[in-house]
Amino acid sequence: MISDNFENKTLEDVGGETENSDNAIMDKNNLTNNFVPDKLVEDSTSETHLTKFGDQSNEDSKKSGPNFNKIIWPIILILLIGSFSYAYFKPKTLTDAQRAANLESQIKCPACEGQSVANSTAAIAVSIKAKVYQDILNRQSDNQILNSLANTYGQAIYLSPHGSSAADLSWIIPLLIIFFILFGLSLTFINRQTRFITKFKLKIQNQPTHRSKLNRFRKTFLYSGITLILLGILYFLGLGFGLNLPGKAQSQKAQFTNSQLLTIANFEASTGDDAQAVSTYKQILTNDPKNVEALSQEGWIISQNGQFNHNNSLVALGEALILKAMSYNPNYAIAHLYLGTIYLTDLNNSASAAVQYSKFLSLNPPKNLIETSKPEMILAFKNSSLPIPNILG
Amino acid sequence: MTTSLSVQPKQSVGKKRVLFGSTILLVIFGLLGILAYSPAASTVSTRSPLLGKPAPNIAGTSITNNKYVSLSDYRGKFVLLNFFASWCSPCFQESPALITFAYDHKQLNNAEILGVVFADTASSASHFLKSIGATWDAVEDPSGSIAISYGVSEPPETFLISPTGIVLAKFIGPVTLKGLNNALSRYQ
Repeated sequence: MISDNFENKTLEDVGGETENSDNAIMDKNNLTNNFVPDKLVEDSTSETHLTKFGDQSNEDSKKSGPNFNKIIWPIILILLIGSFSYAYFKPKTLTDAQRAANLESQIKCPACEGQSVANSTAAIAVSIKAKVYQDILNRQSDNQILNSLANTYGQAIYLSPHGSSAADLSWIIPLLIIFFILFGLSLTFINRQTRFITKFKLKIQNQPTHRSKLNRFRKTFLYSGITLILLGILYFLGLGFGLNLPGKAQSQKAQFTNSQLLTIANFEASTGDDAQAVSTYKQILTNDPKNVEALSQEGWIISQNGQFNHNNSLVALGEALILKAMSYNPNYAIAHLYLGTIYLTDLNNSASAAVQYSKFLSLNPPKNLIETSKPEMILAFKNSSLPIPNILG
Repeated sequence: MTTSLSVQPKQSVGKKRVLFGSTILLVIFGLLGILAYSPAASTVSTRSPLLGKPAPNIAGTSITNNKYVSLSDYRGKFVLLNFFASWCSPCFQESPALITFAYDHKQLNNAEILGVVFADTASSASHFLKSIGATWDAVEDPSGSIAISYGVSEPPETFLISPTGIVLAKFIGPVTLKGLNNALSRYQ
């Protein structure tokens, strides 16, 4: 009965804050020491101190399961690590443009030596980039996109070794290091606290002032620690939800870059989706009104549609866009090729076409471009009675 | 007495702590393991992961005769699927072997060639086929999606497909008549 009173008072003491309550407990301790055997007192006090923050007595603890203080640190650690993982590894924090750039840099150009598709202009590299962008727009995951390529090209499609269990697990290493550091720190804290309590146990028992200071120190330390950790958790969760917090690597950007949009537009044009392609070229031109490639491609598609629909105003609009592109960059070879073909096939002007083709050939264009337009170029030179350049055979 | 009494519960708490810590560690490792798990990409070590698998279907208008063709139309015969371009010199180099192969097996009625235009226009590719005397069908691939579905890097690349639609062999670079016939006889 007396012992129960002691335990109850000790609980109050640990949670207590005033000198008065400490004094009251000291009086009770003295009272207890006078009436109960030493062993009982020491058992009670030692257990009380080992429970550290004293939400429950040892007896209560045995009845109601593990002490709260024993599990709070691991729980906080798990939350911290979990929120860190969520913030750091959550794929959705990347924009489509960032995802595309990241994937491009991982995929090897199959027609090149040690080069990623990001840096290649080879036909197949451009097709792969377009496929990646389309897959991203279709909300496929990075793994789905990479696996679909690996299923046809094999592991050689990866610029660096990929897909092994070791590589998949490698990202855990920094997390484990952080975990062990935090785990070690928390254990050290708990051990130091226990030693501190043991060392001053007698003083604490007999000197309520020290005991009060210790309680305040414990509380300050605990609440400061918990506050800092909760702030850390909030920070990582904030990063995970895409907030622009200090330390975030890159800002959010909802759109693809112009270079990526060009690949998408060219892909759309190649699949015959002219309306979508023109819409994408316009999007590029909104971002960069002087984009020579977008102007030329849009002009070419519009003029071809004009020719197909016998709409001269569309042909004229296409021509105007290509001329605008040439005003920004007179040495853009493809613009001269397109303009030459418009003059030859839409406007029946072989002489003007031959002039544009000559300029095109003088700009060292890719061989496949020369080959694909060879018949039209030869026709233009023949019709205008000009000598056929040697490069056309 | 005080010391022994204080040490005893400390050891017990220490053991519990180690046990609890180990459990937490196991749980965290498990969670991280689940997070880390992602199915590894194909690990087929042959030159083409498609070998032994059904050939991706191909369908489109033939640039040779404007008729609709599909790879599935060729079931019952071996198919030589040839990726080519008019600007590709090795494609021209391999053309005699393909012409001879097409002629020989047309007589035997057991194999045909189907072309796929790689990064080229229909008009140039058609002109190229006429210039080498080819009469087989060929489909356009302006977006490169057929090439990607077959893991093609650059032309010429050729696939031997079984009468049941399985990819049997892949040839990178210009083919020879001997090489084609050897491959065919191996699977006949």
